[in-house]
Amino acid sequence: MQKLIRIEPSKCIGCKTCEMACSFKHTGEFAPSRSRIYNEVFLDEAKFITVTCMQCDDPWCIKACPKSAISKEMPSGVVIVDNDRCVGCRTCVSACPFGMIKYVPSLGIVDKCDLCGGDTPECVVFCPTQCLTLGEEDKPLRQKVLRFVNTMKDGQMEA
Amino acid sequence: MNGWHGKILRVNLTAGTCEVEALNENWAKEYIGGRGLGTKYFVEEVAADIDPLSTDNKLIMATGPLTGTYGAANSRYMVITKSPLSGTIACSNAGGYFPSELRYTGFDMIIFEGKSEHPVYLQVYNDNVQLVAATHLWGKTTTEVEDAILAEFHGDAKIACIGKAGEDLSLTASIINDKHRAAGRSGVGAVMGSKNLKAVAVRGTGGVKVADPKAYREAALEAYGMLKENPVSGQGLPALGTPVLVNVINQFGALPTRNFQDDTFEGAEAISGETLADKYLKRNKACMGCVIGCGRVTGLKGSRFEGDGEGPEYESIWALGAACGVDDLAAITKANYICNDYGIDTITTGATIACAMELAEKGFIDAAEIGMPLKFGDADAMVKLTEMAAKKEGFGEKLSLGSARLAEMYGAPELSMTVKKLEFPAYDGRGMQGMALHYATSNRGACHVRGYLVSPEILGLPEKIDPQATEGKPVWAKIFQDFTAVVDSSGVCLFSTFALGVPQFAAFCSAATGEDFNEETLMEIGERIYNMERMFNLRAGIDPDQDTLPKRLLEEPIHDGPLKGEVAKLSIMLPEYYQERGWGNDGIPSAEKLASLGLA
Amino acid sequence: MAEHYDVVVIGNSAAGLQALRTLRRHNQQLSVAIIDREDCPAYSRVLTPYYIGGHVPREELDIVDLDFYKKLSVTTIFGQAVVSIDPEKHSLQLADERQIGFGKLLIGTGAEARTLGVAAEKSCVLRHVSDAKKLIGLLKTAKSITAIGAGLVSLPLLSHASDEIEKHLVVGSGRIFSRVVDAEAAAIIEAKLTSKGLQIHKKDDIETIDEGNRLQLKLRSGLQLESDLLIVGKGVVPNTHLAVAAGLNVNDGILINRFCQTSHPDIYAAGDNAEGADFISGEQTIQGNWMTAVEQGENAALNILGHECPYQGSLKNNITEIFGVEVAAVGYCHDDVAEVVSSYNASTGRYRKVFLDEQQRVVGATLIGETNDSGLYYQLVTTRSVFPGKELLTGTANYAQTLFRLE
Repeated sequence: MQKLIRIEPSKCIGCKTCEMACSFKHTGEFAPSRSRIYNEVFLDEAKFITVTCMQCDDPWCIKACPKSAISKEMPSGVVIVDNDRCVGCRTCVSACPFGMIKYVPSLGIVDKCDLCGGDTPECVVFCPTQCLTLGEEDKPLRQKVLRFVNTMKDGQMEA
Repeated sequence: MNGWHGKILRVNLTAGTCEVEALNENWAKEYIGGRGLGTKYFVEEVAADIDPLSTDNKLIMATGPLTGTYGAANSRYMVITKSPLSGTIACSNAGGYFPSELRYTGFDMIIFEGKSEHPVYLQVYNDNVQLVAATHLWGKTTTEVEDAILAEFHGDAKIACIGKAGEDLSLTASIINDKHRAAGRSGVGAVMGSKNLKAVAVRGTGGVKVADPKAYREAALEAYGMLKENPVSGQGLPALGTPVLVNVINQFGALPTRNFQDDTFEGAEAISGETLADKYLKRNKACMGCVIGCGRVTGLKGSRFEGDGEGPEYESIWALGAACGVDDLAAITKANYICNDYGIDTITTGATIACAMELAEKGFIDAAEIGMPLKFGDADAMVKLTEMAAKKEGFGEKLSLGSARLAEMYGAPELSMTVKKLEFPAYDGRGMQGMALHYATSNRGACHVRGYLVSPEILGLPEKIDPQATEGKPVWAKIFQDFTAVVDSSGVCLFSTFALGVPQFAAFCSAATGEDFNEETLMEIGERIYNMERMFNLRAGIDPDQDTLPKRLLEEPIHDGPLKGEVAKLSIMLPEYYQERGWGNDGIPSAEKLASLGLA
Repeated sequence: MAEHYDVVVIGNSAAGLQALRTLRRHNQQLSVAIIDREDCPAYSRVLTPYYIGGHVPREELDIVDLDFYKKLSVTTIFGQAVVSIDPEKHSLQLADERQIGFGKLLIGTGAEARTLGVAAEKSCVLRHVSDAKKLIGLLKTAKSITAIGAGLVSLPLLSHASDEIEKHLVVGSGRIFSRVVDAEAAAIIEAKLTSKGLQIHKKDDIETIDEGNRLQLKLRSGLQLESDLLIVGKGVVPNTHLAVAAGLNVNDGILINRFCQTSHPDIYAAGDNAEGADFISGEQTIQGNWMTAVEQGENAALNILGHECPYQGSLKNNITEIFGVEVAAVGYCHDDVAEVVSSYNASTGRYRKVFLDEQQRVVGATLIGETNDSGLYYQLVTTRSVFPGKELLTGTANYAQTLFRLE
């Protein structure tokens, strides 16, 4: 069963604690720019949107990688980068339509959400409003992503 | 270094230079950061008797070692300067995202000195720092400035800036960050304006390191639990924001109404947190890394006004509302937006309008001079005067001086509800003796966030004490004032202290910095900071005889509501307070006390 | 009985590998073989500059190991060049004269680097591991190097070479990366490269090469350069000789339709040797990048299996780092579009330019400085999205911005 971070935007208060918790766990520093989850705050519109890797069924990043350094683990369905194999060519970065795999200059390789490798994801642990939970097969989220991919086609999306 | 970056940025606006300096590590250990460390730098570098709006004044933006981390409500920064409004040390504190982003640039604080010939703003992109022309931003509102800088500098930047009021050197000017967060009090925005510094834009892709990540995480988890379980930080504030207090304080009978002439407001329900949530709330919002989330994103759709923004907070609702006898929440919210857009302090502005209303009602000022008949309860006049004060238009120019100067000007100084020229916030000291004592002795004047005794006296946290008792209050006041200095220096929001105490801060500070901060050393640091500020004020000519309250609070008993008959019993508490602090009967810190704190 | 496979893939790189994966994802029964003239598992051309720069050892260049083919039950015929294809007989011949029969054929033979007319010991292209090994040898002792052609081979190579080495770049056109980014972006990158010590000779060419102890290069401008290595980055020539000989329609590359099918219905082509529709213009073009090869390989495989999936068209999608500057270019990046929207800040070094068509749809984007959002722009182009708004330019974009505008 596909594991996922389930996100309920209506509960979000824009505190970015998820970004802090994520970066602290994975880098040892509080560095939101290094987070693998993104809490975007649209102040004027009063919208807070949190996004992270969708752990796609047929991931663009895996297809793109010229080194087979990315794989989808089963049965969890988590998409993982092999740090020893990655050389930081960034082909996956330019392939991910969601911007969810990114190159880290200080490491020279790419980085993405791995759902904390089996632990309860740190962002979920620290989310103060239970906006984030660990779930399996988040239907609403995936539908939204599909909508994103499809409705924009041929300029249907409103600017 | 851990916790601290060990790096500060010094910007000389006269020379147009930006230089990186090592942080004084010894001072960091003795003053932590934020308010304490920033003030230490300030008092070492600036003479107390300078003119606050001259080039001799400096302005320091300081974060603490916990700013930009998680654990409580850890996104605060302090603006330290000499106040043009009160002449005291000023340290105004704000949350939002800017304080954390400033930390991620790798700097612990920024010191601004001198004066730029032309309007400029500072761009900080990690260690890439430059002053750039701000002529095109001059005169613009804080919202416009932020949007313009996001477009021309970096879309992920966080911005602190002044509005038109700061440019115009209004004594009520604040510094606004993230559009709606204010380092509000003491006129710090005017100091920024006097330096021709329009804004500070920061973008940092670095991080904050802590000495013991495991211990830090554990402390954070513990603190999260405590904050969640606490009735104020876990329920009241998340549910309704600070306006939750409108009904609470009004029912208690200490909501100062019509410039402190009354203490219960008949229109309280109409301007309460509940009404705000019902009518204008768009959603709840937190500052960075905050588990409480007391911010309110609001909009005036459906009312007779237009506008969107954040707030109003409890104090703003009170100042622009109850203090003026105004029960129109839309008008209050609109005035609050105006204050943020032009960058003026809502408390001082509302309280000064309230003072003007009483001056007008009592015949000290002509309607002609104001440009309109003025009486309590007139919501439209309140909004109009807020706008005039923000723009320094007509009578607004006088309002922009604050109520002490206004009342003095019209021959009725007793009608200014201030201590050391700073306006009271929304709790009547006659109804809570500890708070009265704190108002009289706070280092920046009548301020609630240097020793929030409302917490034990009304909210019952950490324990309930009798608000009308005077016994023990000097000790409470000292402990709260010193502890608050620690909280303000760590980079954490005061609201976390509804649930967290000194042990939690000791755990955080130690795990972050690797230094051994325990309860005793932290409280000593708090006391050191408090005494350092006090000494600056004394050198600045703020004599101990100003440790007092307006006549109205000392002599006119509350005439309505549950607290009818109460006055502030300051004279009973003050000598004991001085004694508790180790100060002489004259209110001057003794040489021994200063020596024991390392301040001699 | 001659060897026969339901599907045969010629060429063991991006297109071929993705075709194998796709075939097996949907079908376990068909017999599949892959043929390549090099006797090794697939290795990554994208990574050869990293190999030369010493960031990756040779064995790490391999994309897959031999186990990969075994797991997919794919027969490997490596170290054998295909010498001819007979479309009518559905068979091909190997260098050792073996005949291989096929039901469907995918040609993914890629391209070769274009060389200079004159050959010199100390000049080198970069396409194969053998080239890379030669370059490593020459770079070891080089004190000065020159590259000709300012594209995605020469610039990364110059960038990877040690800072101690004197570096020259000879560019025929008036600017670098003329096929990759717009003029404004090129100027920004040029300034960066110059500040890092690269000497750029624009609108120039190498007239004569004298090979002595060191290379004596005489430029058209009259300038005389002494170099220990000449890197030739003049683009590539598609490998089409097999297709030409087999009578398939070939222009610069093997012409393919929307189903990656050549002029023969059972023969497909994908990758650097295929000339198919461009996503933006619809014109036949050879895109020559890794992602296109992957996409076409996948698409060809789906159509071989009878899924009738039209390919949306190929798109430029480049991302690299040169001299410490991150650069990405997606889609159509020339200033002759209906509208461009851009933002540049000298202090952050961040540059964004988005190219729009008449309907405000995104057709391309150039990013300098921070490129982690290039995939989002790729998505905007491939979905023919209307530009979501200028706010996207100055911040780090991810799909939150787009979701936000959809809500």
